Amino acid sequence: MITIFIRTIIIYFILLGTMRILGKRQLGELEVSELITTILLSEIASMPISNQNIPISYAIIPLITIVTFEMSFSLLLSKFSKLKNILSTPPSALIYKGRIQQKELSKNRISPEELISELRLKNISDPSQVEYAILEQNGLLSVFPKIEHQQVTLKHLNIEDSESGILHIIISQGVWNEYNLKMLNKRKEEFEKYLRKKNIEQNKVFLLTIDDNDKINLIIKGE
Amino acid sequence: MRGFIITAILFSIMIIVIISNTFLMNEATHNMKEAIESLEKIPCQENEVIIEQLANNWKKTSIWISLSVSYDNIEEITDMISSLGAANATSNVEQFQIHISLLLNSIDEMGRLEKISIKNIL
Repeated sequence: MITIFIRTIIIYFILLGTMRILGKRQLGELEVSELITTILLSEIASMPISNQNIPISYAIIPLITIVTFEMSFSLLLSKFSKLKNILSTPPSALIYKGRIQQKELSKNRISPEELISELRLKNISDPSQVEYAILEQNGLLSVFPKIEHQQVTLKHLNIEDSESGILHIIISQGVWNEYNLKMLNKRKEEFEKYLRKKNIEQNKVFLLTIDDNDKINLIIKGE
Repeated sequence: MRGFIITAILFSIMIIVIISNTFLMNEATHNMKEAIESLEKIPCQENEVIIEQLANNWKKTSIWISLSVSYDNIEEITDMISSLGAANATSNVEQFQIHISLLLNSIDEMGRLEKISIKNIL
């Protein structure tokens, strides 16, 4: 039992390191090779955990080899776009300028029922409302409605408003987010001053955020 | 790029380990086979010393060899060496020679995966 326990820990950290090296692309599985890699990694990693007779190197060697090939492919694909067309399928326009492309549907082995179902998942009940529907390389469908079916925006109503941008986390559960501080070019002292004004200690902060208009939001622990 | 460099370093270390393991494994199997071939064909007292030496060397070798050889295979060879010693002690010629043959097969099996061949790959 203890061997299984130790092997599981080792394999877990090796997998963690592997996924860390492979990065966000692997999590998103943008390419076919990335999907294959993810499937293989999980199968290979489980082998020495479930079978005590297999040396742990039988998982480590394939993991490192697969990661190396995956990284090399990703690098080559990013440098040589022609290679991209050979190794991965380009996006397909299933609806182009409002017309369903029957050839593309057939090429991607997608039935009209499946297309309608995917559009419904995007809250579109009628394909005639769609200007473009593109089947991306990761298998997801991007849908762009026709202008008359698009959601109304402030621009359509000629209303101006300032961009609030996104919220940037500065303190989370009492701990500084150094990365965001550096990115925003802000200093801890500014926020410490703010907290002193509010008579709140840093370790009592659940969440402190700032938006692109420098508006600070604070949530105290236990609130 | 940093990820690629880390991967390349890990891959290089792995290749070095694989190549070293191949050499060490070939050396280990060669030494064991040599020791077995130096045995007298019939059970005798001289064989006891060689078998004991073989067992001691195997005990040390099996520690690092377990990196690339399955537990079943290692246990099999350990049992074979013990059986060989027992066969030598009983002075049963037929049994002794059978055990030599079985031990040689197990050693070949142990070294098989470190030999590059179409048969192994397929």
